[in-house]
Amino acid sequence: MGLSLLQLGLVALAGATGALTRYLLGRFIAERVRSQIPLGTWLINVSGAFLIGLIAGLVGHRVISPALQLVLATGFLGGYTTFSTMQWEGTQLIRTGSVAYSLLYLAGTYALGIPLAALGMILGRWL
Amino acid sequence: MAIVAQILSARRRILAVLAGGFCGTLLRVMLSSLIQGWLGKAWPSDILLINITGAFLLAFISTIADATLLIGPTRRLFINVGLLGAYTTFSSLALGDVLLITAGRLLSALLYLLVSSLGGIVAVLVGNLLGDWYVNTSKRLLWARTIQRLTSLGTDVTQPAPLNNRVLRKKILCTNCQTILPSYANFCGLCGVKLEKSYQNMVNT
Repeated sequence: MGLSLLQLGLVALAGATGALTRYLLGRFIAERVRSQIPLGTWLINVSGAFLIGLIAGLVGHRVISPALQLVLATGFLGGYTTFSTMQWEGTQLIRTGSVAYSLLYLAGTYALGIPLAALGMILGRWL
Repeated sequence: MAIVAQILSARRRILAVLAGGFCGTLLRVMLSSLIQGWLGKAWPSDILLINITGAFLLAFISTIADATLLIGPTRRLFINVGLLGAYTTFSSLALGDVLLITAGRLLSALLYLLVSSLGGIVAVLVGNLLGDWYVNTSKRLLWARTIQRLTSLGTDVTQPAPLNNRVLRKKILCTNCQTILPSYANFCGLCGVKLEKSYQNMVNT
């Protein structure tokens, strides 16, 4: 993949923005919703999955250029969504004894995230 | 996280997450193209490897951060929330899986999901264990080094440390019977009242 330094910098900058959005949104939700399940990370990952599907669909439709897809999807959404925190939170739930919540959280993210990514893709192509 | 919010200013927190996110995304993009160069683009092994290593590192670092003072609140935001959060990704995982499904490779898609989720849990557990091991080992080493140093200075570590002169010179006044007692005493030897260790009751002799 021949990436220019400018492209790489833009992608990283978008990733930084995504990470900050995740942090702020995660805190915003955690302060308002008291829940055993980390709803913030869940919502972030699920919405990010939908958006990446939407962008991929729009690229297929030639609305978004592959270069913009790189910045938006690989950069922003890659920084916005997270795998490590999700697995860490899921495993912490097992350790604190609520295996059911852990399963609900992890399975809930995968089971909703992947269909939503597919839905976003279909929607993007259809638009 | 609640404690972090109280200690650090908003600007510091935002900068830490931004800087971490920048580095994490850069690392992911570069590593991803490197792995794709080695293993090809047929299977999303790049995202899988990135996610698993990220989950491992997050667990390892969080365990150490919880038990020691090596990683403070700013570093924690930079590494865990920013760097590792942006390094790993769920959206690319979901898209990669959808692409496998649309390519008709259902078994591959299922395998990708299972390896990601179960591998992620195993990575977190291994990271936890290794973090605990690191903390315990370094504590043991520190303790051994302290004992060694005290022994080399001529201290008999099997005996309790003697009270130094400053403690012995300080006296405390019993508020009940006005007796002057050594400052390390907890109860008055004359009337048996519990001594209040406040500065007003301390007497310099």
